[in-house]
Parts: sequence; structure tokens; C-alpha cells
Amino acid sequence: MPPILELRNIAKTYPGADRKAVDAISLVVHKGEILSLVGESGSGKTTLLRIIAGLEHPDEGSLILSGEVITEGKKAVPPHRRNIGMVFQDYALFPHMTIAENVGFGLKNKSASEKKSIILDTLALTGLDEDYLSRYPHQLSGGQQQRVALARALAPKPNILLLDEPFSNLDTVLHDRIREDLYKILKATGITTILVTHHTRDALSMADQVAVIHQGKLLQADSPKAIYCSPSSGYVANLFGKFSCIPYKAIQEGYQTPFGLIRTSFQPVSTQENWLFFRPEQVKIYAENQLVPDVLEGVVDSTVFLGDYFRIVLKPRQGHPPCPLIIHGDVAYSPGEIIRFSIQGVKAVNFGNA
Amino acid sequence: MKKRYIWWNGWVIAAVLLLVMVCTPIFTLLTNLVTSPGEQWDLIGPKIVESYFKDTMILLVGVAFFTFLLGTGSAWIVSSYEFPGRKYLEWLLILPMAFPSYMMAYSYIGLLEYTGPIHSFLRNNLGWEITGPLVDLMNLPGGIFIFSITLYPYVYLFARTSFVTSSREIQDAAALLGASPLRTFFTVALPMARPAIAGGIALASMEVLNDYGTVKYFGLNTFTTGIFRAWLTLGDLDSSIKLAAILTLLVLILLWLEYYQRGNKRWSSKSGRTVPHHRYLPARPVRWLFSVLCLLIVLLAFGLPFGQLVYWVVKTAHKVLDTSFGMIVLKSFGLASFSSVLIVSLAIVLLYTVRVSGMHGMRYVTRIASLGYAIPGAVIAVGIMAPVIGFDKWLLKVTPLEGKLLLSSGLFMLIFAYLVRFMAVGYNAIDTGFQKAGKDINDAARLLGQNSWQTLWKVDLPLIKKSISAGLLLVFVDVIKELPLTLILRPFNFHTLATKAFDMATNEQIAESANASLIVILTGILPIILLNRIIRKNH
Repeated sequence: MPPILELRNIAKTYPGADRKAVDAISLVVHKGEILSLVGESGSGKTTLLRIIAGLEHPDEGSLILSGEVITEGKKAVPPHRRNIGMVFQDYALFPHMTIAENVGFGLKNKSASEKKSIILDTLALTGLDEDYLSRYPHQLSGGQQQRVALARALAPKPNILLLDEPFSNLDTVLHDRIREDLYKILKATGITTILVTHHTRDALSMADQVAVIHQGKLLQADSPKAIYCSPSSGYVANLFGKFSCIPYKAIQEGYQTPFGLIRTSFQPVSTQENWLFFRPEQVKIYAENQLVPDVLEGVVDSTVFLGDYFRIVLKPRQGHPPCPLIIHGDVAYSPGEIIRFSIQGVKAVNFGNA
Repeated sequence: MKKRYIWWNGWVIAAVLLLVMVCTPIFTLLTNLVTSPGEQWDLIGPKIVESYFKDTMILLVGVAFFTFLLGTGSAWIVSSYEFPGRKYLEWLLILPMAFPSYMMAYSYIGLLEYTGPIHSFLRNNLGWEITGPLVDLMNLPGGIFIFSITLYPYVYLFARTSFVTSSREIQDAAALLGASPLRTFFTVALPMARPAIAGGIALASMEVLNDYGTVKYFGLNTFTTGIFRAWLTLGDLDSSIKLAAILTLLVLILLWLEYYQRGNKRWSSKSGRTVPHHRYLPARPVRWLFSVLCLLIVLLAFGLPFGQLVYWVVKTAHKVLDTSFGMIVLKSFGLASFSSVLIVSLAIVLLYTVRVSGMHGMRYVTRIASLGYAIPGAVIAVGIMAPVIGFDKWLLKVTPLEGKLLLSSGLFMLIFAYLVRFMAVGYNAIDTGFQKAGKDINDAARLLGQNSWQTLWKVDLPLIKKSISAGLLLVFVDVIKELPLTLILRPFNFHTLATKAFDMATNEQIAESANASLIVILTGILPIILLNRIIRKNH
């Protein structure tokens, strides 16, 4: 099946800016998929979203929606003909219209009764009932306003739904609940969604495909699992959480590290990949008396309590080259203690200077 | 789905046409400057420029100094101290803004003349015998006095806003470091308000350059009187264009100075937190001193001259108020209404183009349209007259319209000139509205399938209703007050309230002129009340 949306080499520079806001980005989105654009503020992810909506025009590249070229060269299909829905960061509800008028705004060529039933159905889908119809946006809470904005965008049955930082205006308690609700709604309608966020956790938990953007460039587009466990660069690795990189020597039996030998049947193909990458969760700690073959050993350097776990920085035993390593544990260790551990599924990587 | 060129839409065409129109007078002046000077100009040019330059500069410097003194001083007092009547004096101090300078001049001449109230009081109650006017105002210092008391509210408004909104914490920090209120004012508050004050003085200076009524009445030789003399008395369009061009240069230098003095320094502190503004309560005698000072300014700049006008009106109303005067009121209001609707509509077109066009430079290009406010009315008049009359002459040659002047005979030129001069007023009002409404609202409507025209009607216009009414009112009042443009460009025997007042005053019917003046001033008070309410709501 052809992709519903294809971005080919999209680039845009704002006048007066010293670098490109969006730099040669190519992406493919399939029907029903949730794509998450992740990056720090100023990375260009919102610009990319606005280009897809037709609110900005790229300097280079083309956009293909359902097999039709909608943006190319100096020509573009104007936003009101694209049938793309968008939920804005600040919702952009029309303050002078009721909730019913807001949600019904995009419905064209429909009888009054048809309109009414679509409005009610869409509001119900987002968890709002009839009582809200005649209220005005300022009478609703932030979370309710967001539901109305979502209903308004979904009502005309758009080809694609764009969400710009959907969780940025919500407090942390609401955040997780709204994310789960939103996920359910999106999956229930089966709508293709592109979601911009700087919360990596939202991206990982909701998306089928995560695209990491940094300084206008697409660094990696992959499944959440792959982004987390096999990042293509130090930047991506760091963006999605703590990690450790330790040097190694490839020998017959596996990887020789400062903490001991990791047995593996795989051997690195290229000598370029000079580090072993892993997340703290991949490390398993053993009790002192537990007998494990090929156990690794390290000395505790420091421990920090972080609520649901301890972050422990380990150093190799004396006589080995220094190299800190971060693991998670459930007890506080004091500095100088020796910990025995193993690492599941390390990956040899080359992050350059990272 | 049909693709379109991203820069192509009806809005852009309309906006470009509008910009070309608004720029016409400037183009005229520039092209005329480049072409060779006329013989008359060669002969007299350098001499008259020298004398006009001297008077103009003295006026500018004097008015700048005194508006600074009056405006900043009163703004500091009302924004930093609590004293009896502060709440009322705070907005009474803005009132002189409603007084066009030339009407202020007429009132003062009346106040100070032999038969005037001050003279009579001194003569009858104190037995003083003074012949001639009490103080002769018909000279440069007199002009500086009149302009200063009518124009200081510009500085006052800007400075007050700056004092009230600038971070109170910084001033508190200065106080905690041991600075007295006076030292805090000179070392902290004043430097921080400098850009605002300079902006106010620049506006006041432009009003001085624009004025014709006062300088003409006082017999001062400024560039504006020079342009009038050259065009209306000598019929020398060429010389008037040359003078207008020099005046424009002067304005541009003024604008540049205002811009340059800001440099790349920042005077405002970026802390977004606003601490509730609080005022000091000074010792009792100081409190009363402040009340008296502010009241004195209000009396001199508004109370006394306004009283004089009312006295005149009471005395002469039965002679002046007839059907022909009623017609003038109607014509004046009709012209102002039409102009304000036209200007605000075109400002909406211009700013909506910025809103929907994908081009980022558009915003800066449309700013040009608001430049007209800085250009003196006489200059705009000359810059419009030359091409329009030229066009009419050309039309006469190529068409069989015998002896009929199409554009230069009616109100076309006048309304065109109002459009150029007051575009900025409508532009700023609408711009504020659009900025407040935000761009997302517009984007959201278009993504929901409405084209730019439908979006404007259903979403944007309803949301900026308040700004539209504010813009309409401000332009309306400005047109009612306008004198130099109207004097030059009005059709034969056509009068507005402003030209009628000017006409009567120059024809020794100064008391009768008060009737027209009073209506103009009362209209001008309307937006001041509104403005004050908005400012108060914001703080």
C-alpha cells in the first residue's frame, strides 16, 4: 500500500536565520500510523508540522498526500483544501463561538441535523457530553478545551491529524491520563496522526514511528523500541535517557571490557564501532553469594536516590582503565562496595566523540 | 486538489496597489528634487530656506525641552506618589491633547487681550493700568508656549506608561541601596523610560512640523507656512515642492535620531513578573504641592482656554449657529466618517494580507503605509496635488471631457490625503487587534476548510471588533481636527469645522470661531476617555 504522506527532501530557512529551520527531511507515514516528531525546542519539528499543514511553505522539496503532490516548487494546495486536521498547542478555539459552533465549524454541505449528530458523536468520542454544546471556550478547563480542540479537528474526518505539543499546557497529574485517553481515541478512529512533542516518554509510549529532529535535521526515524535500544547517535541515545558506553576489545569469546568479559556469539563487523552501548535497565545485579558464570564486577563510586530506583555509578576495579557506568538498583550501596552484575544485549556502536 | 502559487492571492494585489498609492506623495517629492530647480527657486531659495530653518529649529528645540519638562515631570509625580486628587488629575492631564494647537492659540490671545478676563480682573479689582496685551504671545516664545501645553500629553502618556510598567523591583532595589527618591528618579527610572520619552518628544515634534494654524496666526516662518505661501499666495508649485522635500528630510532625520538614540541598548528589564504598582505617600505639604502643581498644569493647558471658548460660545452662539453652520458640522462629520471607514477597511486589507500571505517580508513592507503620519500635512498635500493635477490635465487632452476636472475638483484629493496621513492610526489599531487575537485562530479556521475570505468574516473580524471601533474613532477625531491638508486640498468654498474656525479667527472673528472649536475639542475628548479606560484596565 502506498504511504498516505510522503515528505521528500523538505528544507526551509527563515529569513535572517543563520541555519536551516528544516534541513532536507524525508519521511514516510503509513495509513493509521502514529508518527511522533521529537526534538528540543527550536529543533524545527513545529515548522515541519506547519509545512505539512500548508501554513508554511518549504524552500525545497515536495509533499505527497494520498499519492497527490500537494507542495512542490513555488506552488502548493492551500491549507483549506488539504483536509488536514490540526490541534494547536494553545488549542486556538474560537472564543466568540460556542463549543457546538467550534466543533461544527469545519463541517460543510451538511444539513443541520447531520451536523448536530456529527458534533455530538465527535464530542462523545472525546469524552464530552451534550451539556457542553452551548458553553463558551473560556468556561472550560484546560483539559476540556483540549478535548474540544481535538473534536473540532476530528469532526470533518481529516486525512491526517496533526497535534502540536498536545501535553505542554497540562500539569503532570493530568498529563499521563490525557495521554492514555488520547491514545485510545486515536486508535479507536484509526486516524493517521503526526504528533510533535519534546517529551520523549510520550513519543515512545504513543508512536508507531519516532522521528528525532535536531537542528533541522532528521537524525533517526524508527520504531520506539529501536530508537531506545539502538540509537544511531549519541544525541539520540542521550535524548531518550541515561546510558553507558564502555570500551572493549573483541576477542574469540566475546567482548573484553574493563569490568570483565561479556560472552557473545556475534562479533563486530567494523572496527569503527569501538564502544558498547546499553541502558541502565539492561544491567542485572546479582547477590553476593549467587554463583553466575562470567560475572562482571565494579566498585560503587556514588549512589543517587531517584524515587523508584537508585542510580549507581560504578567504576572498574583497580588496575583497569577508569570508566564510569550507570546502573539502576533498588538498594542504596555505599561507595567502595563491590557489585557483581551482567549486561543483557549490549550493542557495539560508534557515536563519534559522544 | 489544485495547487496555487503560494504568493498569489487577491490580498497581495490589493495590498500592493494600496502601498503604491500611499507612497505617491513621497515619489512625487523625490522625483521633483532630482529634476532641475526652477528659476524662481534659484533666486530666492537659499534665502528663504535659511529663515524658515531658523524659526523651525528654535520652535522644535523649545517645544522638545518644555514638553519633556512638563510631560516627564507630571508623569513621574502621578505614577510615583499618592496625593489628593491624583486619580482625577492623572487623566485630566491628558485632556489638552483634545485641543488643536491653533485653537489653543486663539483662546490664549483672547485670555490675554485688553478686554480679556485677566486684564479686566487686574484693571477692575487691583486698579492696574496696563495698555496693550498683558503678555505678547505673537512671537517664537509664544509659539513654544502654545505647542508645549498642547503637546506635552504625548510625552506624559509615554512616560507614565513606562514609569508604571517598568519593573518596580528595580526601583525598590535602588531604594534599598540607599538612593533617595530623587536619585532613584535620575539614575534609574528616567534612564529606563528614555526610549518612551524620546518617542513622545518625536511625536510632539512632528506635530509642530505639521502645524499651520498656530504659526500662521502668530506670524512665524516655518517650513509649513513657507509651503503655503509658495503655493497659495505665489502659485509656485515648484518652490513649495522644494520646501516640502527639505521638510521631509528634516522629519527623516528626526525619525533617524529617535531610532539611533535607542541604539542596540536595552533599557527595559526582561523580568516578566509584574509587581503590583504602589505609590509613595509623601509628607502632607509635599502632597498638596503636587496637587497644586498638577492642577496648575491642567488649568493652564485646558481649564482656562476651555473656559474662554465656552464664554465666547455663550456670547456668540446666537449669531453663528444657523443652517449654514449646521451644514458645516454635517459635512465635517460626514467626511470624517467616510474617511475613517475607508482608512480602517484598507488597514484591515493591508494587515490581513500580512496575516495570510506566506511571505515573511510582507510585514515590513506594509509598515511603509504607516509612515504618512510622520509627514507634515502640507507636504502630503503638495505631493498629491502635483500628480493628480497632472493626471487630470492628461485626461483632458486624451478624452472629450471638455473642461471637466475629474479628480482634482471634488473631494478625491482630500480623502486621498487623509488616507496617506492617517493610515498609521488605523493600521496600529487593527494591528493591535490582530496581535491580540493571535495567528493560530486564523490557521485553525483555514485548516477546517474555510478560505481566507470566509475566515476573515467568520473568525477574524468578530474577534477584533473592539480594535475596529477604536480605529474608527481615532481616525474620525484626527480628520475632524485636521487643518493644513484640508486647507490646501478642499474644493472651493468647502468648509470643515477646522477650516471654519481657522477662517473666522484669521478674519478677526475670533469669538465666533469658538463655536466650531468647541465641537472639535469635545469630539476629541471622546477617545481620551476611552484611551484612559483602556490604560487603567491594563494596570
